[in-house]
Amino acid sequence: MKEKSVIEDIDRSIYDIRDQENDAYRMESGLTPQIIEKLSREKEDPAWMQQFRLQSLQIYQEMPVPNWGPSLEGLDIDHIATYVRPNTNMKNDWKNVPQDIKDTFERLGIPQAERKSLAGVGAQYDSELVYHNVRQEVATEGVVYLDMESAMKGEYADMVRKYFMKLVPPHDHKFAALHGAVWSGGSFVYVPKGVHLSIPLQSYFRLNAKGAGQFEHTLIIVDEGASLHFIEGCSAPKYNVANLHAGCVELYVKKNASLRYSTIENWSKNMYNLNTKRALVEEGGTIEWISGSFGSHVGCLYPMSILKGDNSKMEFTGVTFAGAGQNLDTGAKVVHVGKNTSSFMDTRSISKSGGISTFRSSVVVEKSAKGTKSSVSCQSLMLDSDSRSDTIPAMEIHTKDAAIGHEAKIGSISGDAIFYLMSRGMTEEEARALIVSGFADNVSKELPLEYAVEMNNLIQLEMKGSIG
Amino acid sequence: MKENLRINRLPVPTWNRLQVNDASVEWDSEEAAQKEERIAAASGEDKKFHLTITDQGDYSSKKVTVRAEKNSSITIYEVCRAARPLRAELLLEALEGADITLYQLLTPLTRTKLLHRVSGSCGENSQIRLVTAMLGEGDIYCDHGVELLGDHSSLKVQAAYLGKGNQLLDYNMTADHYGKNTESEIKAAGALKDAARKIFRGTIDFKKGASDSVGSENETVLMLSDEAVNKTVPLILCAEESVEGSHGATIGELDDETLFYFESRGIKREEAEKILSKAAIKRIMGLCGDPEFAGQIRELLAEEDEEKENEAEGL
Amino acid sequence: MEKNTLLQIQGLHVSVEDKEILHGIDLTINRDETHVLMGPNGTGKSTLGYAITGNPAYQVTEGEIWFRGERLNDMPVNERAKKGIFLSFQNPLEVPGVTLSAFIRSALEQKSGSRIRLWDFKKRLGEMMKLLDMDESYAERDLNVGFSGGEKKKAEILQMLMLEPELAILDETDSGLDVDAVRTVSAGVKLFRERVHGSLLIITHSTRILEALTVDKVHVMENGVITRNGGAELVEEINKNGFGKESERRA
Repeated sequence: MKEKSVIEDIDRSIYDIRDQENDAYRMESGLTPQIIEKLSREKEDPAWMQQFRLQSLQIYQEMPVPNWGPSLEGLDIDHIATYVRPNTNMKNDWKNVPQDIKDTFERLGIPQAERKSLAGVGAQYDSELVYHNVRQEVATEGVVYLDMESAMKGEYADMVRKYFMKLVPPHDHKFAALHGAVWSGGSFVYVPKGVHLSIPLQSYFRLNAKGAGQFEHTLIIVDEGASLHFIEGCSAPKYNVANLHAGCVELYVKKNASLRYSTIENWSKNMYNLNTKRALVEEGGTIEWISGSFGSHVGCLYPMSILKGDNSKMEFTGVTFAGAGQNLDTGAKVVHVGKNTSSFMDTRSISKSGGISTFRSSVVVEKSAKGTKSSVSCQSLMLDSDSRSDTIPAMEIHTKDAAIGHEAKIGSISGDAIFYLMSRGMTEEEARALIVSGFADNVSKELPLEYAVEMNNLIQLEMKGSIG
Repeated sequence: MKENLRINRLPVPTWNRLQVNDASVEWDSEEAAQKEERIAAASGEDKKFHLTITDQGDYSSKKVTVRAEKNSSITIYEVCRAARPLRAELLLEALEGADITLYQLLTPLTRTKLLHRVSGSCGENSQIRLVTAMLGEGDIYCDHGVELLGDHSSLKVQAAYLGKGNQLLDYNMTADHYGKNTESEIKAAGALKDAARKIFRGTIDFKKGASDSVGSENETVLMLSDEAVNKTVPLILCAEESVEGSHGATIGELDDETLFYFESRGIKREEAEKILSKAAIKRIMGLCGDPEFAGQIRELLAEEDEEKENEAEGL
Repeated sequence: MEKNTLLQIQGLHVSVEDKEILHGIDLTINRDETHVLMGPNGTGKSTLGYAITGNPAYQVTEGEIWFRGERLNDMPVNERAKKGIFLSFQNPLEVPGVTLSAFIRSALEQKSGSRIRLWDFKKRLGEMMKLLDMDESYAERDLNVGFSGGEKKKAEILQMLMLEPELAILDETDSGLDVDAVRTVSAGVKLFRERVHGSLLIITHSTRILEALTVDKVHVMENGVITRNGGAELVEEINKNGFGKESERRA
């Protein structure tokens, strides 16, 4: 397999140091308390965090891999262990980056300076400067935007400790535990009461930190009456040598606050994307998820919202595109707890060239959630018969005072539609691409223009079969 | 010997926390004495059967094989009625051009359990129709599945229920589309009151090769109590491009529009709920075309004595 | 209030979703009278029908509604129906699983408060259906399910005749040009007046439906207020000049 050869070519200087311990090390399957301790020390973690990492590691060792969903056989935990170790020189060499990744950068018009960073080559991208400028800009509006490591040590240390992995605790599932042990990088955002940040905050800038993007932890707190739009990811493929992304996003939306969390994800096609995202919404608060999933070999993404406060609301708009060699299992989860809460889901999925796309959802209405309104709509497009598209929704209702609606549709592109477009001069390929772009517009119309344009470009490329 | 059976499996499992991947039932296999029966219709024949499966016979488990030869038609009125654990299994085979219609009344009378399994297969141009009414007081487990093997074959399912007391209604229906131009339609409707619990699992599975097929699933649940629990898991699995699949589910209490219509005729909410809770089952009564079968359902719906008197006298 | 007064509406303001539709309506209907409420589309005519019946989606923000000497304002829908108010919907709902016959019987039982002998009921139902030229098979069909527009109309009129309300409100805003509907409604109204001697409030924007009827009072509604009141001659006028000229005249 292509990936193996790339990995084998990577700098192996670390193994030279550990020669004698090699066998013992391998038998321990890579992750040991000693490694975690070293990692923690290098990061200068406060004592509580080191303790937390070790406890998480233990939970990780004890928990089984989930018995549902896509197979995680190809996951290389050993390599990940190596990657997260401190002082590792494990990085890629530009000449080893797969050609199709380079071609995509070219076609998407990614600036030269960014390409190496995106490819994990560890080049010095001046995102540090850009990041710094953004920070200053939002600071004038009173918003705190720090990297997680700094946030844990400075004046917000107490706040971080109060919230860190309380919404997604390590025992939630095996990869949450792994995250708890090896997390690195990520953003901490605090929006004070009543502050409405006028520009969307983007996490794209945090790419070049080690382990960044793969085990990053995002913690966002939007205080009472405030509002924020946060965008993570980008349409350019992110290529990393260790093939697991086990990030964690915890969102706290306080009373009458609102948060819009947009993601365009296009991890390279060797990746296992097991990201966990969860939001807790208080009275009168709103969480909006906008989600475009294009990358990874295997993806398991189910942003979950807990509508704890009365009159809280959740909206989820998503599109998933599974192409050759991809198994993307995506969807959303919501738990209605407070009174008069509402949830809306509008998801679309596209399967092509042997890709597997699964929509998986869970709507749970507790007995206390009187006056709940929930409406889920899921549409799937199959572009050929080599692909798969599965819809696995579940609803669990414990009160009669709730109105729940669900609908799903699956089918292929209408022959009439293609004929019509071709009669206006388009080739069949162009027609299909246009229809699929239109199908994905539930997401693209919710994104800032430059992201929407990037997303559409990505779809065009996927449709032309030039990627993967 | 008591064994733990895992039945009503969801073809593709999901989050374990939801506890909908399958049902776990205790069954005393020592007690179970099995009886077998055969029902058949020869080529071109048109036959009707009344099938009763109860706990009054010398069996607690009955297996019935139903075979409809080419171009024949079989209609079965099945009543499964028991005060002790009862297990029934029906194997339906509809050959080319044949059709099998199975009307079922599943009614465990006391706090017992009824395990009911139906597996069917359809040849070319054939049809299987399953009309199921679930009533009574005990727990009902329905594990039903039909394979649409032949081209142009179809499956129509109508399930109705009225859950009450502490009942558990666990319904699992799978339509496997193999042949081309196959069609499936699954409709489930009912009401839940008291502390009844219900799980509906419906799967439409388009296998690769089942081109130009259509599948639809629909569930309507009327929730009449805060102690009732409803779980709905409507799956569509698809490996074939040129198909159309859809499902819809509506869960909740009496909607405003319907309530207003009833109230504008002087019928208050409680009465409207009572009437509508039986609606899905009454529809089956109206469809079945067999007075004896319909009569048994009517009895169970506990219509007032006065009406029975009237009926006897007037009609 | 006079003994003869059936319905009295004073200064009624009605809103839907915080938007006021009716801006102060006064209306009196006496026993055994046939009233017509006319006006251009979208002026609030149906709203008045819903408000009298008590649909919670239509909020009375000001004013009173009196029926047979009782104040209706806070009375729930089903209570009003039992007091003798009936609304024939322009687009009645389909209710699968409930037959037309069971629906009517249930309504009758709610009104009388006791069970009704099946045989008597079926006899009476059959009679009414015959008079309305409605196929008896409809009795055992699910309420309005798969019924054509005309059959739905008949089903509503049938309910009116069986329930014998003191005041029947017929919302005919869609029926103007439907020949069958016109015929059904005329027949129904005639039977209603002969047998039940109830009062009627017919809501329409077309005069076609009134051609075969004897009308006592006519009210014209425009933009949520009643602009003109008169007798049957008003129908003739509107027939000739339409509504437009009247609004102009008003302005």
